Amino acid sequence: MEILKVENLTKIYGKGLAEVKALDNVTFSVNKGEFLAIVGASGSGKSTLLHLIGGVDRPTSGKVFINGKDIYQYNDDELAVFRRREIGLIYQFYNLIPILNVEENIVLPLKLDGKDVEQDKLDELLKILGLENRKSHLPNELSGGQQQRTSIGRALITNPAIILADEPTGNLDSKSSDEIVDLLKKSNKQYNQTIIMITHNLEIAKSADRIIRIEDGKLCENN
Amino acid sequence: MRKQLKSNIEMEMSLKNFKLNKKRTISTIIGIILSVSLICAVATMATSFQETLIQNAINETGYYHLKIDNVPSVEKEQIEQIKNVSKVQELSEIGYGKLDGCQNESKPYVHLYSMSEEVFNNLKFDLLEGNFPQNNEEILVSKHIKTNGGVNLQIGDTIALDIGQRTISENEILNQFNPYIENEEQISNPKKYNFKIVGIIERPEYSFENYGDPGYTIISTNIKNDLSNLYITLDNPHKYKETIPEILGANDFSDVRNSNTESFIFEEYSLNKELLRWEEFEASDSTVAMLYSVIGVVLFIIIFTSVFCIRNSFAISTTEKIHMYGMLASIGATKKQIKKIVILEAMILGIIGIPLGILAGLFADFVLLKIVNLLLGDFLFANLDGIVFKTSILPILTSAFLGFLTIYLSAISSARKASKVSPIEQLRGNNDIKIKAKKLKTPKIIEKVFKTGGVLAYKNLKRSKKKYRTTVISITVSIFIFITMNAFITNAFDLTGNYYKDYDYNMVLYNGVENLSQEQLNKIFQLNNIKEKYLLYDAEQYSLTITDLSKINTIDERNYGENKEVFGYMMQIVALDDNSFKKYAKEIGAKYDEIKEKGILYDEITNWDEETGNAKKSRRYNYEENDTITGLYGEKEIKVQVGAVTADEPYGLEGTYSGGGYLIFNKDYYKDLTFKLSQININSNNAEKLQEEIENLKLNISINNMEANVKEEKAMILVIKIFLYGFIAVITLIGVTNIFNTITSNMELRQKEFAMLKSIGMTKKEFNRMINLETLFYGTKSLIYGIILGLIGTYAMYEAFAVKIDAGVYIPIKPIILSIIFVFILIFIIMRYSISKINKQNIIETIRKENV
Repeated sequence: MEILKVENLTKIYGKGLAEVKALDNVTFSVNKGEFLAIVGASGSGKSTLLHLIGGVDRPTSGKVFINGKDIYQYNDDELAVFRRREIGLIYQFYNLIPILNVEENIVLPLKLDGKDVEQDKLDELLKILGLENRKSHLPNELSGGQQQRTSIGRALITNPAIILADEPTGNLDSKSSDEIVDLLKKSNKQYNQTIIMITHNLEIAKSADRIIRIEDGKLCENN
Repeated sequence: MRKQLKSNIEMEMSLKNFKLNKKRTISTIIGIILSVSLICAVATMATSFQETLIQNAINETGYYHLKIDNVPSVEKEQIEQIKNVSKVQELSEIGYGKLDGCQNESKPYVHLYSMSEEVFNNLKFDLLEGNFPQNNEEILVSKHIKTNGGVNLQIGDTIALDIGQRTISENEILNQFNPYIENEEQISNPKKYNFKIVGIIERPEYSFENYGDPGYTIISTNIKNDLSNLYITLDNPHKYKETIPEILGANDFSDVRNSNTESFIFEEYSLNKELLRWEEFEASDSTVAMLYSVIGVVLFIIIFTSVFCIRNSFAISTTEKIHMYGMLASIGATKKQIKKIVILEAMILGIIGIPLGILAGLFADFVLLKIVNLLLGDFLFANLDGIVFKTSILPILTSAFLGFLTIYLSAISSARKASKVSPIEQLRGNNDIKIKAKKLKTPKIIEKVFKTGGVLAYKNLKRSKKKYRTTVISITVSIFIFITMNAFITNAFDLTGNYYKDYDYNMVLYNGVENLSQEQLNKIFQLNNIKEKYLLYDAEQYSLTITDLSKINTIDERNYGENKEVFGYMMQIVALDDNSFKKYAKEIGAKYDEIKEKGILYDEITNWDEETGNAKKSRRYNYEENDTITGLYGEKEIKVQVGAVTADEPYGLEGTYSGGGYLIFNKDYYKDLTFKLSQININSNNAEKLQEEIENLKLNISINNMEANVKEEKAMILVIKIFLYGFIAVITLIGVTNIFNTITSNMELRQKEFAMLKSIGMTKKEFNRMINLETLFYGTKSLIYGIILGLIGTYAMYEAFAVKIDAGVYIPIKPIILSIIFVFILIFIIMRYSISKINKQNIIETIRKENV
């Protein structure tokens, strides 16, 4: 079933002479359980696309449907709640809260929602992430790979409709990179988690089920 | 079993936020403590002053609000029943009796009272020696029976007295407000008393024994009397306007105030006005009104500065965490949740800071008052050791309320800012600089003098003006307050300092010197401790009336009678002794030999411009040197010659004012008029001792020891200066914490930038140059604004005070220089501190680190 549908999505930055068309009429869809990779050169618009799918930014024109809902009908608050429950965001620069430890960072979306944390589910997740021994550490006490894994945990904890990963391995060495990609694949297979990942690294992209290419804000041929 | 974790995520985040930047948190709390403590200190100062004035009044007169004389004893109970009456004390005025051997012709009696020991203590009589009488055969006598009346009564002596009422011809009874009428009054219905003297009291203060009372107070106990004087104290003094009329049987208080006693039950009453005034602390009382307005202004300045600084602290704190707020937004925190986090954080800071601030304020007040009392307690109040420290619930609540209000208002704008952060901006991470797209031209000179570092600094400042705005404003405000307050202090003390600074002497003998024989005068002059003396004489007929309109420069409209005839100006005629005259002539630049047989004209007058309220000095007459003045002296018309004209006051006449001017002669050389001695002005090197020695000569003259006055005045000025400068210091301190916050945060936020500059090869020297230029730039900017505002403030102060005194505009050079030095030192220190921290960091780590 279709979990994501992007329709004529356009994003323009700036005005007049300084106008930049980051996305130009992009249309595509993703099914539940798919692992999609979006590749493209720097400045091609991939991050923009990801942000728009995640409801982090607003498009100039076009629509984004997630689970059949047109997310840009929501106001800011509704969008925030939507993001909290349906989207898991993973960034290149881990973006953890520096004053919360691993465990607290992971459960943060749940807490924002006022939901209780099921401790056994959490423990299981920590195990999968390989962070059981690190769960009380603060981000500045973790390696890059560990921080990124925490990010992934945060993205997974709410069982979101889609996980969006923006260059998740961009900041890591090759070993850590492999670990991360494996983790993503695992959650994709085990939990039927839909994942859209951006990367400029074709090798990593090959781990995905499907690859889309973006160039100058436009989609190219599917692989 | 599932473990459930209840979440209050906002509270958790707020609490954890403190760990993020401990120094910033502490610095903000310090700012809050300073502000709240200042508010609390000022408010407590007000309650302390009020309490002090109340205590002072009580110690002087005893604790009562209303006194009623000659009341039948039965009435006492009735009055006690009235609501709001706390206590009714009674004493009896028994009567007057001749004091044998008394040398004071206008005070020949003793004035006998009877009261209980409790009442004696409550009315604050001062028992110097001995004990309170145990029965109605024992008596206390006042000290001044000996020193003023010349009758030496000791403890243990017995004295027989005929006590009765003072009456005059038709049996009209006289009281203490009627002076002694020799040969006409007598003592009626005298009763014989025999007393043993058991104690000596200080002369009672004037509200008990009036200055003109012809009898010395003596006190016994338990003497039966039909009538009593009642001293009534109220429970709630604030309700005195209702209770006192009720007691007196008046319709309302205005009748009481205006003594419309027709319908009153009791007619002989007096209010303890001093005490009521201070207990009531009504805004309609001019002193209180002045105090309230001063406090109002001070509180306004404090709150204004505090809100500004605390708000800035929060803004900085929010800016540092903007990355985090953006991230929270991106994972789904709503605007409301983010706002809540910021506000909760502020509230927690408040809960820590405000109580500490209140305690600090109370403590500071306490210590300050102790110090002030230690240094100056003797001079401040006649009846107290110093200022009383008192606080009540009102200042504390006010401080807490204002504190919370300040914090809440400060936090709201930061909360809004944090919640508005769009997650996308944070992800891009460059929203701190609002870059203007247009090309920024850097003046060539900057590049030449300051090289690359300078260019970067310049562009930085031009492009991120907002960041420096708060620093600039903060410094500007501090400087403005500093300079303006200085002007205030100088002007205020010109006003008071003016009074005594021109005096060449510190003691004046008057009131009776005209009766001294030459022998007595010599006795005085022979005393030690007289450095110099100036004798001032009055002409026998006192003045010369000038009616020649052509000689009069300035005419006061008020002097015109109904028929538009000029009343004429009375030129006072005085003389100085030869030595003094010589000195005076020299001072005014006149030739002594030429003018010693002529008069010196001093005719400076002050005119008040009705419209502007300004004071202007001018001359009354247009007589010049060598002119002849014609005028009416007594009944005759006489002519006198003007030897010199001056605007300098002669000795002994400083501070006095004559609308018709003075003509000063040399007593030893000018023989056409007769003079009598009116004042002896003495410059003493030990005024206190000299006063004692003169008093021992028993010459029946009045002595004004100005040194005591000057000391008191100087003490008062010192105290006020301490308070004002202390106030400025704290306000400046608040500003300093703010400046510290702003600058350090600016430095910290740009760590990455600095590291990057270093990594591409900028030398330490160039780096420092860049920082120096930034400092120079906004330091200068703030100084210029601050100094300009300060000059405006100074002028405003001058205008405000010019009504009373035209001391000339004062250019605050010293404060300006001090400000400049202070500001630059401060900024350099802070920047150096920040830079040294940055320099310590590893370049690469900083660049790679994203949780800055």
